Amino acid sequence: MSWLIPASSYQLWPDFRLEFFRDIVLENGNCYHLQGNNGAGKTTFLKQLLIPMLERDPSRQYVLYIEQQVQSQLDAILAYAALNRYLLPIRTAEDMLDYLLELLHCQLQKSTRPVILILDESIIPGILQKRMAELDQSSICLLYTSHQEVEIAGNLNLKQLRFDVISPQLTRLEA
Amino acid sequence: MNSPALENLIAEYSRSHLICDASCPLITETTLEEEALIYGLPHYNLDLVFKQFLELTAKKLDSGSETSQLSGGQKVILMILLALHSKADNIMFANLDVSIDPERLRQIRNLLDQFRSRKKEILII
Repeated sequence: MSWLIPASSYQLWPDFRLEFFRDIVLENGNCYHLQGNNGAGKTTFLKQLLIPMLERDPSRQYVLYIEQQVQSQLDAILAYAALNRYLLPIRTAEDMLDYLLELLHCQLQKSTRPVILILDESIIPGILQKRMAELDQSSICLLYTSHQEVEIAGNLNLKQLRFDVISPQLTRLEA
Repeated sequence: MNSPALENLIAEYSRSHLICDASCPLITETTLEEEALIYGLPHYNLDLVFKQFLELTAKKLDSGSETSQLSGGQKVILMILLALHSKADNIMFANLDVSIDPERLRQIRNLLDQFRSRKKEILII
């Protein structure tokens, strides 16, 4: 399965445009490292372009998105876990990712769908390696942003999406 | 967000240091003027913050700018500048390398070195 984002110049904020000259095609079995300096538009690409596109057809795939600076998301997950009587403590982003990947694993056993896993500066290699081993990696498309070199688990093919800042108002994306 | 060991360290220094954690960089979700109020910055210091922010990010800010306009890394850079220009003598920064790109991180480290003579202690964990 693949997801296509047509080549275009996207006005994602009133003062920010993201352009790419070739279609971006995301595929199962691949891992995409989104690279770019601060303010290049990596999170904007995820939140304003990719996720809204996925939400247009939510039954097509599972989307697991771990936000950058996750405190508010962590609070929400804590509340959800409490309501569902989850017994293990969730104190850190690591615990949260572990819990969400466990839920995903359970859900996939009930109903198989492709998975898009998005980690915005929240990649945690230890947990990811442990949980990825439980999942069918050919059905996973992983996207992550990180300023550091990280080792990705499993047999996913590593690809790069490079965000080149042309000006504060314009970034060019190269796949 | 933080590991228990880091949480313990933050708790230990919380009485003596201004703790600035990049995993939760801003306190308000409104304008920069509101955010700066919490740090007790006079206007001339805020102008310096904006000037240095422009040099680091090429993004122009003013008192009325909304914090929601900033990227994750830019929020962290703003947090660092507000802390450095505040009256706090002792500052502890945590998790800076997660959100800031390597080039900006090098510039930030230079900036921290410049401020070390004006502050009693600047820690990075």
